[in-house]
Amino acid sequence: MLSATDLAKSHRTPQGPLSLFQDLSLTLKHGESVALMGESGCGKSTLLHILAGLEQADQGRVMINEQDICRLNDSQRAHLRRHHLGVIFQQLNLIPSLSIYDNLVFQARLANRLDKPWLEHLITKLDLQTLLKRYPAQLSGGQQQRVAIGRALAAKAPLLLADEPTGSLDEANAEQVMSLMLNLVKETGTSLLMVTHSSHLASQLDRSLTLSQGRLS
Amino acid sequence: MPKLRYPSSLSSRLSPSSLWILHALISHWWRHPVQLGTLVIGLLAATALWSGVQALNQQARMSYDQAAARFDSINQAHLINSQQQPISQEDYVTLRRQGWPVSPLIEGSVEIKDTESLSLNVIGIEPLSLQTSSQMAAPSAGLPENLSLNAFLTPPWEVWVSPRTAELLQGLLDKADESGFPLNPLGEKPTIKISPAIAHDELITDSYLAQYWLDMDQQFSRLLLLDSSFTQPLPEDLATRLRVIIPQSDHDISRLTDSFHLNLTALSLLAFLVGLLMVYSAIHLALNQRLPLRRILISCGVSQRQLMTWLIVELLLISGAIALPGLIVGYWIASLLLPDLSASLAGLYGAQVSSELQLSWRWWQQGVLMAWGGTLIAAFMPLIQLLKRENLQLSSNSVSLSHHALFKRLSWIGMASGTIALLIGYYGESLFSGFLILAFVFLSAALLLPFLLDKLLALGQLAAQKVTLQWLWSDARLQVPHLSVALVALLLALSTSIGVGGMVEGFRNTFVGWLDQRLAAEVYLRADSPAQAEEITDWLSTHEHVSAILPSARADTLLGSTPVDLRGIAVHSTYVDHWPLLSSSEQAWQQIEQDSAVMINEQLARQLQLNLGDRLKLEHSLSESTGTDELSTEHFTVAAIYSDYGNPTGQIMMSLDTLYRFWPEASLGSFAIRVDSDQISPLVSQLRDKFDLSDTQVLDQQAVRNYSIQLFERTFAATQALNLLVLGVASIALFSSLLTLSSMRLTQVAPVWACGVSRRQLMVIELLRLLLMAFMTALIAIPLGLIISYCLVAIINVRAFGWALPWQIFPQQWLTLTLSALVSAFFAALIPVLKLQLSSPSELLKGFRDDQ
Repeated sequence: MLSATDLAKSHRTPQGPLSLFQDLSLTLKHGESVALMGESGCGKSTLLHILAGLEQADQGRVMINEQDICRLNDSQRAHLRRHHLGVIFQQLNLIPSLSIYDNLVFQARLANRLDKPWLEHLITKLDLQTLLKRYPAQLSGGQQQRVAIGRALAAKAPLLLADEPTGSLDEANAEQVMSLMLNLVKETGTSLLMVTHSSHLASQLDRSLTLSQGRLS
Repeated sequence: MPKLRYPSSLSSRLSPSSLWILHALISHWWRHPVQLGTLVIGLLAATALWSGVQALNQQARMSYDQAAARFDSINQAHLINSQQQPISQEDYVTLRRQGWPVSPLIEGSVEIKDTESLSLNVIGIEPLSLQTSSQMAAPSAGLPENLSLNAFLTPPWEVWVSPRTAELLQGLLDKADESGFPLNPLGEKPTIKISPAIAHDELITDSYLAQYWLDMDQQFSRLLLLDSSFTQPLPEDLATRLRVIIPQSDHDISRLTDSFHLNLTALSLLAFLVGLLMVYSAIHLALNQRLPLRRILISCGVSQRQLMTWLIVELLLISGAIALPGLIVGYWIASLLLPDLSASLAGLYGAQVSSELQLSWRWWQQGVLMAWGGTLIAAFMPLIQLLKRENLQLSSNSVSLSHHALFKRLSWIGMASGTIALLIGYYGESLFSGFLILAFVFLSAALLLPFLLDKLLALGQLAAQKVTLQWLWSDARLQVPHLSVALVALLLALSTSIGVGGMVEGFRNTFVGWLDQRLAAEVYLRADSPAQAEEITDWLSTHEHVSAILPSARADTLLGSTPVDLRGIAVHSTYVDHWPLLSSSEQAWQQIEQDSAVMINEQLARQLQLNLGDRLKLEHSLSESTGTDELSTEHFTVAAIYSDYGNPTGQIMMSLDTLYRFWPEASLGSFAIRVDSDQISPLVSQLRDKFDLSDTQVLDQQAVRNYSIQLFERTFAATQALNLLVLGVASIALFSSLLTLSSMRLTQVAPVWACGVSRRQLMVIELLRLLLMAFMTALIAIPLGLIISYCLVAIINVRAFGWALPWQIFPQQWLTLTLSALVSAFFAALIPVLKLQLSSPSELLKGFRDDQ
């Protein structure tokens, strides 16, 4: 599903380039869920962004659906994201100008892959029936994250990349959102790579990877 | 533990130690230079445009005051000789003895030898009689209050002049032999005294010296009636010789020109408002962005009141610093516009305005006060909102829905404003009420715009099929609250352009058509004297290519108490076929030829509410027929009303024979000469050579036409320049709003990008979104501009100038303005859009980390 090979990334700092990671490789099989852990600032989010085609690696390649994302231009990467990826961030995932319903269907319609019965199913599963006409600013953090998951899954993306999706939620809400996401991921056979600080959440996934000093273990 | 003292007074809130608060507040602007730029440009534009126009108004008023100090016959009640002769000293003494509050005035000019056009206007006054009334209309004629009567009235006499004229006069008196400038009766040089209140090329002295210089021994030009409410009838023996002229309020220059200045002031106020919208926008954003700073300051022990005080101090400091450059730019704008303004005022009202700017300290003071006042007005609402906010609240939880509610509320107020405008239109009659209508129309449009845009965008969103288009509409809708201030500025500027442009274009069309009708003859000629006129007529009558010689004459008379200009023309097919009549009775020209009827200009018809068929009672002298000074009246029927653009006074036109029959003293006017078109230039050259006529005395039709059109263009040059500046300021407002918003856009754009919309697509959508909003604003501006154009044409112009224009529409102009709005929006969006395109992914990813 996803394979990254020999990835390297460094940031420019006043003191010179700061290497985040080098010769980093990972693979993710179809339907597999993996937790990506590590200390703050170790480069987990940057790695996830590179895998999502949101940031460019300095070197290496990322294969998604047999395409090297690193060799694509911005438009091609956007096209790939639209059809093959679902990305969930810690917060502010939603388009503020659109209603919750429109947010939910946004990526699916963008990819011309809106499946209404599936959408209905997701809405019910995520308990969003009463919120559909509202706007993102009228929702709590937990509700917003449920909508973000719904949007990513409504597009039937085979790969879900989540960057601390419950990081801004309280424990109860985090638990609820996580459990919904994992159930749906399992139900649909979607692959999941999730950045998290929580070993408890990581334990619920198939395996865990830890990024430390630029190496994955 | 020492007892705490709580600051309560303003001084304690502004203690030196609390300067750190100011330091923290001001540091925001250095980190947000674009915002600071917006504030500076907005305030600079507002101050410059406002103070520039005020400089023009002040200069014009100064010139009017100087004109008033000349005892202008237009403004001052006075007595004249009915026969256009001087008044004898004997008559003056008779009146004084009978208690008439009159003071003599001698007027004339002294030509300077060996110069073509240089002459000095001599005004002789009698200060003792001037001071006998408590109601002196022109108290000192520009002379100081502590005038030494002894020096003024006795040899060598004093001559009061402006500083510039003083130098010239000194030179002339020093070389009296060469310049031919007269000395006093004793052969001495009079004492030159300076007063800045006296107009250039004018000289005020004692009546005795003026009589000597102007060769008017024992005679006066006029007698000033110092108390215009004095109602006693003239003594019988003088009533036949003298006539009292009471100035008509409609002929007061400052009143006439007030409408013109009101027009300019209204436009500058609009520019000021557009500038303030920018200032409001910048202050609002700056206060919102400083909410975290506010939280920190409050946490550190700064009181809400202290914070408010320092915020106001900060704004006053910034606006005070911008006021000076704003005033300098205003001065520069005024100096650029002044020549055109002078030409306009001279052309429209005959008012002379100096083309050099002389500004008082009050202008500078008012400019600074306007900058401060404007800033405080612009900051009022954002500061109140800040006060109402919870102490530690970092951002408003307002969502688009709350904006919809606000828009709805504003639209209700907008509709109420529109209703008020309609009511004023129905009941109001004054010029001021005309401007009030415009103000309420603008207010209504400004308040309705966000609501209308929101609704239009919602409709677009409903109709959109593609998801990206749907987002485009919905996102545009979300931007309305942030961009509404800039869009209102754009709306006001565009609609003013459409309104003023439509009015000017309509006027131009009408005026050019009218000129073509009025200038039916091929050549126009003005003779130096009746004798020369006769000589020229004789010569022309033998000219083989001249088909008609059409003389005209003019005289002054009163219609009731209204002074009117009488014109006599030779009734000829040239006029019958072309004269621009607005309305006429059947056989109007035949009636005019037969003595019984006259034509009146539109101004007079409107001023005195005259209609076709009304009878006019005109006074005329019987001196020619009876040899006495008796006055008689004659009745004439109004047979036609004609348009007479650019003429501030009422005019009655009759046949030349009629004019000479009843007003034999009428002076010869110009000749209209009909000549074969290929012979125009040769005839003009021949006339100039043969009769030694100057270029201005003989003009062909094209030259008169060109001159009139040139004057027309200059009349509206200031208005159009201001109009353009307002449009420029509105474009800058839009640009700065977009630029300041561009950093906040990340949170709105980032999720769409993450979902798979490329940055290039985002850039196109971003550009389209703004063009769409500008287009919609331009669409709304068109009907608004038409309303404004209608108000200007049908209400303001009629009340200000006394003539009406046909209301015309110019779709091509709308197209041009809509395109210019789109171009403005395109360039305004270019930098923010490129910024989005060039921003690194990590910057876009910041959109998911904080809410900026």
